Amino acid sequence: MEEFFGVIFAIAFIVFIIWLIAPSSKKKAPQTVQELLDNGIISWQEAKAIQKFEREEQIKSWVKHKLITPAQAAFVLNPNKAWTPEPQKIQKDNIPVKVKETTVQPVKTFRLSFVTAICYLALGSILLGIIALVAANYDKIPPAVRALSTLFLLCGVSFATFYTYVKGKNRAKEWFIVAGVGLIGANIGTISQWFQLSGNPMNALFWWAVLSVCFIALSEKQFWAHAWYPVVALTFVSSDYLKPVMDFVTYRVPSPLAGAFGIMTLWLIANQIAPNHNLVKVLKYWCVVGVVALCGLFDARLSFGHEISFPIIQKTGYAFRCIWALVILAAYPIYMMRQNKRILWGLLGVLAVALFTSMVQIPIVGTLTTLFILMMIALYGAKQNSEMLFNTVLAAMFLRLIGVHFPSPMAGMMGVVTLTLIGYQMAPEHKLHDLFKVLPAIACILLAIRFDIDLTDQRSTSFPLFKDSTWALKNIWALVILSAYPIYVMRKYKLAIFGILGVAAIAILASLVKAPVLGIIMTLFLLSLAAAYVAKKNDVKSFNIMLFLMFIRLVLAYFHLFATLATTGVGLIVLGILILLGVWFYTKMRDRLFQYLQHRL
Amino acid sequence: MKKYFVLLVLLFPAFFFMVWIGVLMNRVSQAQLVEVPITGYDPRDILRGHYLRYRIDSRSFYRSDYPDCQLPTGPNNRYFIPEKESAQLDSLFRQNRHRFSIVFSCQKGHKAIAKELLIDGRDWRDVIKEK
Repeated sequence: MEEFFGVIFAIAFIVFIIWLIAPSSKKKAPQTVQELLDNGIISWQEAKAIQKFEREEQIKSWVKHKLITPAQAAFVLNPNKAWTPEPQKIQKDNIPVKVKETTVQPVKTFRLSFVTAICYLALGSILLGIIALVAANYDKIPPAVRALSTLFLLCGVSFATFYTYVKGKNRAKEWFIVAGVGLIGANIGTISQWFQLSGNPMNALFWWAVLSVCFIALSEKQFWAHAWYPVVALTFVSSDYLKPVMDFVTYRVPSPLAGAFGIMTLWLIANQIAPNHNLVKVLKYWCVVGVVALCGLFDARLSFGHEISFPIIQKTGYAFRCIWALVILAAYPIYMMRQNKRILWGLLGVLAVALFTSMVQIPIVGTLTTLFILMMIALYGAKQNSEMLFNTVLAAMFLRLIGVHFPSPMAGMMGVVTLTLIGYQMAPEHKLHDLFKVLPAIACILLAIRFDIDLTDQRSTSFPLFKDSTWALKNIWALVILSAYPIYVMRKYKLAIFGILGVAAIAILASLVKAPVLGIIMTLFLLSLAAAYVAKKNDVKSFNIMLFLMFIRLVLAYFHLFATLATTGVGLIVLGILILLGVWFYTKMRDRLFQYLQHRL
Repeated sequence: MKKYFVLLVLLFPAFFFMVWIGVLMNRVSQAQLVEVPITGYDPRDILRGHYLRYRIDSRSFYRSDYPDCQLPTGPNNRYFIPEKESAQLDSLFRQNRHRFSIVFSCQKGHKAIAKELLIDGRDWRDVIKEK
């Protein structure tokens, strides 16, 4: 019970901090279309209409000032029409009118740039390295001195952060926030060493998450908020302090759907307190991730035959659960009806499915819930004109459908690749042909991850070609894919044949020598192929994402390879410095590398 | 006014750590000391980096003798040690001729805090120095 109140206090504390440091939204009225959109004052349709209007007005003014001709204006406004150039107007002095190069600014959305992300990771690595070195190497200094020195350092950083905040030196403030967040971790470590506090390491992470919010809430970078939420989610699942809450959600409110409603309620409350704060803005994305994950859990539980019951239907603890459900059900429409009817439909859909499930517990209902939620996200992606989101969500829906009919995930993935090939052959010019490309890529990367995990954990690889049980069936699958893929790709990409041969070679080698490094090589190999492919497509963003994923895999490999704290500390610092050098080299050489890949592949 | 709130918030983690240290120091100083024999969590692998992994040896110690003492229950508990001395400690442990124990400070209603590691009833640093 004591721990439960502790958790309630921690949550109240975080909410209080956000409220305290929240930018004063009332004083500052939203100025741009993006701000209006973020605050929910206008819908996406209205934002697009405003943009279109602004664009038309701008182009009209260009025509008025004779910067462009009416034909050029018509083409810019409607690029689908054929371009019919007008005879060039000649001025009196026979000098052609120079057209200024102007661009229309699109609505800005947040994107963590690759170079910035890598720099943050490198600095994080150096910070971790320093902490590890400090923890490992000053054994001779009494533990009390260690703990008190890091504590005084934290005090100093707190004052420095305050000073930069008051003086408006934002860049310096962000650096002090990095130091403060790191020092909170260091303090927890040194105090634990001093008093020999052992136990669940997730408890330390929990305190880090609670205390670091004091610094993170001051940051104007969304990076911290994106880093903070996964840690909170992790402590929710694993720390002892939050165990009563998890038990409460898992057992006393038995359906994970109740958890989904809980997350949404948290978002609603936070949005009312400080809608403009970074932590609240980012929470929106993590809420969606949480709801999808919880629906996946709901789906998985039903698929594996566990009993699911919706709180309203449960007889035990009836009143309490009813209040819980009613609060959510009342808060949701009040908030949503104002802004977005689609989410209200989503809520009603989930509710209907949950009620139906409580009466008829069949696995297909879980599948329908997942598909329903994914469909809502796909519609959201379509409204936003985000092809990537739309395609990815459709791919996920496709994977879920395949999972219903195929016995193992491996077979499911292979099924996806085969179906994709057939689909592409049948309708290569269809609008959804991008989806056909996304699906095998997702399947291959998931397959590689499975392969990698198996090898890292030193389990026998379940690569189908070498598995003994039901060898024939799995072999047929593998052969279909290994033959269908080159047939498909030979016409277009030599790269893919190289990929298939590479994957096969690594798999054969792995079946002979079960070394974890082969799993890492497999992942890096497939990601580098994907990077080369998107480079050929001139897709800079995807190229950066692939490089970023490769880096993450390397970092994970690093943690597996080095054991002692001192070497890890030195290694992390060296790694951080190398990464910074690599980033410097990359920014200098990126264009050349990109052009080289495009030229070669 | 808001900026002073910000200062208070920024100083809160440091304040929290000070209170935490104070509470722990108070608990250690006022608590009853109990010497508990320990054994390796995994006899082949008692030392891992900078900490020793142990479990309470239930063959020679009865928890019921100290009902107010909330000793660690799990098999994998940790005691921090300097990394340099870990090899020597490991060899001492493997010799199986020494009795390893930990002094816990116990207070009713709180988890016991490991205070000292002893080898044959003496501070482990002294034993290692002699070797």
